[in-house]
Amino acid sequence: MLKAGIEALGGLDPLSHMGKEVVLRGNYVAKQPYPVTTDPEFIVTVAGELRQAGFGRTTLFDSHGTYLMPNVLPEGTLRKLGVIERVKEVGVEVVTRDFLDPDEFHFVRSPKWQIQSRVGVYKLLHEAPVIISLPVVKRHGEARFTCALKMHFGSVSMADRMVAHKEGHGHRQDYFDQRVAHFADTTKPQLTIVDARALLARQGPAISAGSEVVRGVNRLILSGDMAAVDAYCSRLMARHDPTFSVEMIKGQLRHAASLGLGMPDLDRVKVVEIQA
Amino acid sequence: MKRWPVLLPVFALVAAGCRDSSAPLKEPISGFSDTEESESYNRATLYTYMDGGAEVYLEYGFSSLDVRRYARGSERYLVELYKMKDGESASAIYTYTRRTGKEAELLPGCLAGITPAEVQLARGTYYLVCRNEDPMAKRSPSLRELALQLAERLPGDCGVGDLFSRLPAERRVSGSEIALFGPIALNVRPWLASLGRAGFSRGWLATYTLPAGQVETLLAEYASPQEANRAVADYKKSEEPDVVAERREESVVLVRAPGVPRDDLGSLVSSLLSPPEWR
Repeated sequence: MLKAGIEALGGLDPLSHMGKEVVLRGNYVAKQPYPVTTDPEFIVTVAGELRQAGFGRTTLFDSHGTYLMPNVLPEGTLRKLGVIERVKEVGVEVVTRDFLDPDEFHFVRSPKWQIQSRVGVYKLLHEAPVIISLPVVKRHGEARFTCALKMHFGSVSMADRMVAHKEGHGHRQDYFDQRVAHFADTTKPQLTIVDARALLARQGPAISAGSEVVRGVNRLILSGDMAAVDAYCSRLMARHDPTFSVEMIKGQLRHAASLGLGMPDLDRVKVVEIQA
Repeated sequence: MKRWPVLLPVFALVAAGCRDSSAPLKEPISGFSDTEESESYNRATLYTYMDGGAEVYLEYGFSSLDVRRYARGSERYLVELYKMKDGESASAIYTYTRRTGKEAELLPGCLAGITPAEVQLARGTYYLVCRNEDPMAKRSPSLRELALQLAERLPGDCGVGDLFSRLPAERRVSGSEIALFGPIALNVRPWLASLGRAGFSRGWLATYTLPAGQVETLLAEYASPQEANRAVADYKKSEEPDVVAERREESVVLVRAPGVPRDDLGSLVSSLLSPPEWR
């Protein structure tokens, strides 16, 4: 299925011209398996395709902890889920960073942002020649939905994430929605591959009271356009979760489009659906 | 020597606080073995347990969380015991996550939300969630037994108390009510996506059965009549189909009634906007 999708996109050659090293970004928000987090087997499959396409080095990057708190170590979630051991077997390096360490970040802002505070994006991502993002499709308490765009809360400093949650808390939803787009803008992966074999519906981004795992969705979504990916995946979610509608993330999609992160109007996007 | 009378009460308070927060999960559970160290979280650290999911719990008055993992045979269970600031908060967060038609009596007089992989209930100031670590697990008597043993340990009453006393009781579908304790909770329904969050303080969702069909209602309270007015005005601009929106002072009522003639909704809207003592 993945190979067919990559071929439909025209192969990985355009990416290999940008560099021979790829950084993979997974979603490791909690110590719970797929579809809460990116399946290590999926990373193994993606890494195999990259190797065949001639990429020399593939690194999985994650930052979901700090050395200041012994029960929230940066590699803790990956270790608990067996991700480190599994992906190393196929030659994927694993790099984790402390989300509270200011030395790990490069501070950026764009003149296009309405909120002009600088955002700390991981140096490793800022300097990576090629980034491939591997999100999962989930409901999210505050963001309402998480997939290609919201994924990049994990690409910036914990301080920025916390400020977005605090300032965007409920009453100022637009602040939060803008930050979703800004954080994605700091990273801009060249390719997003969504593993939507299953969805986390009703409550998320981790399995909590009232969550529902919807199996049998069986889609992989590949695109360089994050807004189009989220427009497509939010439709998938709306089809399987009666408590969700695409309307709930229209603000995020609008802000993403205004920053040039993609086209959320799927009528203006070429969508190729392949049965594999 | 003169220091002791001052210090002792402080130590006593600290000790009492620790015992209170962890006691229900402290003792072993018959027939189940602990599999990992217990974990505890407070308002400042909850995000480390549920990054992205913590905000809604904070909105509902979360105080602390104890997490334990148990096993019986090959099955693994996760227990989350939330201590909320009061009984109303515990009941409210329970209603936010329960599903209509999925409740059953776990203890006499104590309804719980029960799905194959999860049992949840509110009792006293506690909100208890017991979950099979495999979300696709089939219904398991062990999960229910685990929840039962823990629920028996919790002090206080079950149920939602007078959480929904603002809502008319006639024709209300039992178990459909959801208490919304802040703006993030409005994300619970897609048809509320366009409702203004500014000034929203509390809301009560419920389903009613009318002769022409079922309707879902929201009674919302705003901090001021101006904010309520703005919320209704903006909502009407969104042209959400099949929804009637009305306001009286700080109160806003929305009724989503697909297929139900608007003339049939007048008395329900009026009743929702009237304080209970006026009905």
